[in-house]
Amino acid sequence: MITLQSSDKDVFEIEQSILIQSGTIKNMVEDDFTFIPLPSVDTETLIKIIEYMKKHADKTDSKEKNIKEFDKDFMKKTLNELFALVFAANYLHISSLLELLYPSIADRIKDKITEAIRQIFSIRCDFTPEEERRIIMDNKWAHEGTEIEGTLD
Amino acid sequence: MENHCFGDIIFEILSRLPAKSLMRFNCVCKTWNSLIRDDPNFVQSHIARSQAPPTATRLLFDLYYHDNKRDVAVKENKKRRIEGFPLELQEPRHYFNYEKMRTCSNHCNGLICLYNVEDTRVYLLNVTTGEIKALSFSVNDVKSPLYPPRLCLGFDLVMEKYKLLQLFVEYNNNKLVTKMRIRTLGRDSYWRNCCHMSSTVSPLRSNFLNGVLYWVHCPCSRIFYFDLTKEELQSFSLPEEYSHFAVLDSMQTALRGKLVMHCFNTEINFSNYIYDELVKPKKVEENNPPLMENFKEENSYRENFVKRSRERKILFCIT
Repeated sequence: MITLQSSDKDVFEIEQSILIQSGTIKNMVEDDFTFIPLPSVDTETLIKIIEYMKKHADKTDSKEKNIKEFDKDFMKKTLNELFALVFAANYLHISSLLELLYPSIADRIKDKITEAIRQIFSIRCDFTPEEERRIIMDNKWAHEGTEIEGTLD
Repeated sequence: MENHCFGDIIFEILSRLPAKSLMRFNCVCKTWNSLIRDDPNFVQSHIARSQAPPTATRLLFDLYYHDNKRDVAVKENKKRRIEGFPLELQEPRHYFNYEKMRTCSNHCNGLICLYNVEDTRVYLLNVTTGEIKALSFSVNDVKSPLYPPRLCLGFDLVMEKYKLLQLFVEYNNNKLVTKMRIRTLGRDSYWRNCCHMSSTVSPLRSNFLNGVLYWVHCPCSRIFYFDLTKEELQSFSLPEEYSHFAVLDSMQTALRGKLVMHCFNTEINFSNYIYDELVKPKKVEENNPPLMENFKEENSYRENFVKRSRERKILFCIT
């Protein structure tokens, strides 16, 4: 059994066999660590990560359809939650979860306007208004279309 | 938003976005702009993803000339099923005045050549982004200047360079001969003479696929193909029973990534041939009633395609 500690100092005891899906944890286990602090993962996110790994631990054929359904539902979260997951999965090196998250997030943001993107990613625009206008003019068609929306989720 | 590994995550997410989104997001900030526009790793990653199924995004562009009166009728969003590929016609995107600019080559990797009547220069158009660049050399310095030049655009997969083939017809001993000269873009500073064929083919009906240019030549029931790496011209004959008339289906070829031809016999029954490998066609769905219906619908679309081609020069690009 391995103990994980979230950034909020909550502890979780999980079986090693489940946790080795995380490359990071696997390495630490191989170095004989049994207590693993994760200062960059909060409790809420860690619970979800553990839920994912538990579901994916037993990959028998009969469970495959089940797992696909689970994955589909698992992605039905707010954009903020998905981002928290992607950072955690990136830090923990859980490639299957990353391969699930990247396209889901891409799909969620692909039709958004630039201002929404800036707010979602907390990016400050460093173009002058003139430069920005120029870029938009060069790609006018990309800014037109009924599918484009400005929600933050 | 945490900052470590942020760059990697952004890279991975952006490389899964469709081209239109990327072209919109290149004004988000300078970092995103240089990633999308200039980073070769990013470009390669995006191209690789957009070509590999099942996440393949295939954008078929219908290039036609904007005509104020007829445009209203054509500008509908139609969903069309072709062999399991649902398609949606997009709104017209880039406009060129036919009087001034016209296509003068086939499409290749989402690029196509345009000829500017006013300055007699050839331009390369990137159909996805709308970027347009003039070629630095002239194509009109031949004995019989052609208007517009007859060009074929291809991509050499080995050298990873684009090559331009120019076709011109000459009379030799009272026979029509098509001569070719070739130039590697970004490398050759002159044209190199190439092969010739003893007949004429239309460069606008040439098809680029996997490093090879193809032309159908009906009178002698053959397919000519030009390997862009070897720079050799070869040909093979059409299947005997259907060699009366054949058309290379540009759209299906682009969708399937294989050479697709509609071949007709004298009774105007037709069959679709799909070439997995050169010279080994796999005949497809000849007498299958439900699929024949599909082809009939396809065929009427194709008839429209041919009609529209004559009126308005339609080409499909894949990008």
